[in-house]
Amino acid sequence: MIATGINYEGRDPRFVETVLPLAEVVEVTPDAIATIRDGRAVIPAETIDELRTIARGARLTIHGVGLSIASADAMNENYLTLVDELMSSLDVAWHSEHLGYTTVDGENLGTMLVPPRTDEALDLICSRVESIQRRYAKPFLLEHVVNLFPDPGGDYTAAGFLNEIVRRTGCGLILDLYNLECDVHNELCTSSEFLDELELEAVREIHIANGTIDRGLRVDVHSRVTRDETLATLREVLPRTPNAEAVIFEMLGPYVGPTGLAAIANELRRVREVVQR
Amino acid sequence: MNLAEHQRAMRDLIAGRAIANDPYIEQASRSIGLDVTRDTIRGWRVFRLGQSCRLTTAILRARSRFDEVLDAVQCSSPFIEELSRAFLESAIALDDDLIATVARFELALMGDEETIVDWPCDPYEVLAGLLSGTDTPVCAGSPHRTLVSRAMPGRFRLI
Repeated sequence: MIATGINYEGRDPRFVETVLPLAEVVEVTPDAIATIRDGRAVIPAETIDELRTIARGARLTIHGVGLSIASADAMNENYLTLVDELMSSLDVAWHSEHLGYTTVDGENLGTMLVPPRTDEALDLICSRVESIQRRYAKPFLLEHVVNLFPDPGGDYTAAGFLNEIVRRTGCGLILDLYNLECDVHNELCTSSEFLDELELEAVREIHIANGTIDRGLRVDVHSRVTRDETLATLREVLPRTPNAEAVIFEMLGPYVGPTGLAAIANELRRVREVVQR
Repeated sequence: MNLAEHQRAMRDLIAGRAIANDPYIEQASRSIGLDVTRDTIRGWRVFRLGQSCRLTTAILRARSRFDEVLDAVQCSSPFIEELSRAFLESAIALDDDLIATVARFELALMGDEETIVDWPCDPYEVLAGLLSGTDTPVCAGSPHRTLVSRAMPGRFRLI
């Protein structure tokens, strides 16, 4: 049975009471729940306690933003320290990150970019995936990222690059249907090309979300409930992803208020209906 | 370009520092995606600072100096605590006594230390104007001194 889940950014008791009882998986982003204390990023003890309570009713997963696994210089060690803290304090089902970079020579970009799909990038990313797999005895998944720039190209197609990482490292994949919608809308690929080429057996988790169109580009802001088209794609994809364990609806914290807790709870019910069909 | 060169070129492109002599980077520099990316980065900073530094954001907007201060912030940290500190320090550095006072006060509210903040006027009138979001803050009355402390009900008092 595929589980239904949602991301949670912490410190929102009403969200915990209203939405989380409907979630079988709760996705936690270390960067979003961390705070700076004495000059370093830490997960507050009260947040760990809150997550322990949540873990009584749902599986917890870690889904990072700040690892920057594709940075040429280095991954973000501070981010891994946060993951260490969560892994040692909580029963985490699996860990995942985006296949992109957020820092260059230690400088934060304020956004996430996709690397060119070259052999150089592939070697670097695979060695880092393997090091993460050694560091945490948990499954590690990678998610393809929305690109607002022209295709950086390289030696592989977008799906072929993911397939090669899976082949070399044995990691799993997150198939983000909204990210795919963005790339299709922004004319970087077609849905059928990507899905027909991707090793769908490697998909362990599926993401759905919604955002906006800005100057003609569909952007990845996770600001709205899912469109019917996205759920229709989910229906089509589920039979092709035999190892998917969870479908996660993602919404960024600042949009929770404007969307409303009732609408978000309803969204989880809609997703569950699709998943259980 | 190798991976490191490509990434440095993309960083410099987004930051508006340089356009590398490379066909892909030149193509990216002409893309709508560049404008959308820059505006999204800026929009998130504005949104987060508006939540974290509500008073200083309000007075900067009231005096039409918000963009000037935001542009002066050099901090690229993803953590709001560090970004807020850099933003408030930029506001303190302005040649406007009341803006600097409000920013010092907000910085003190964020800190753990007990801090004295001197005001050129009655802070209550200024704070009421900023929090209501309707009035342009007026600096009226004689100088006042406030003590800011986490341990205090209401977080501050006149001394």
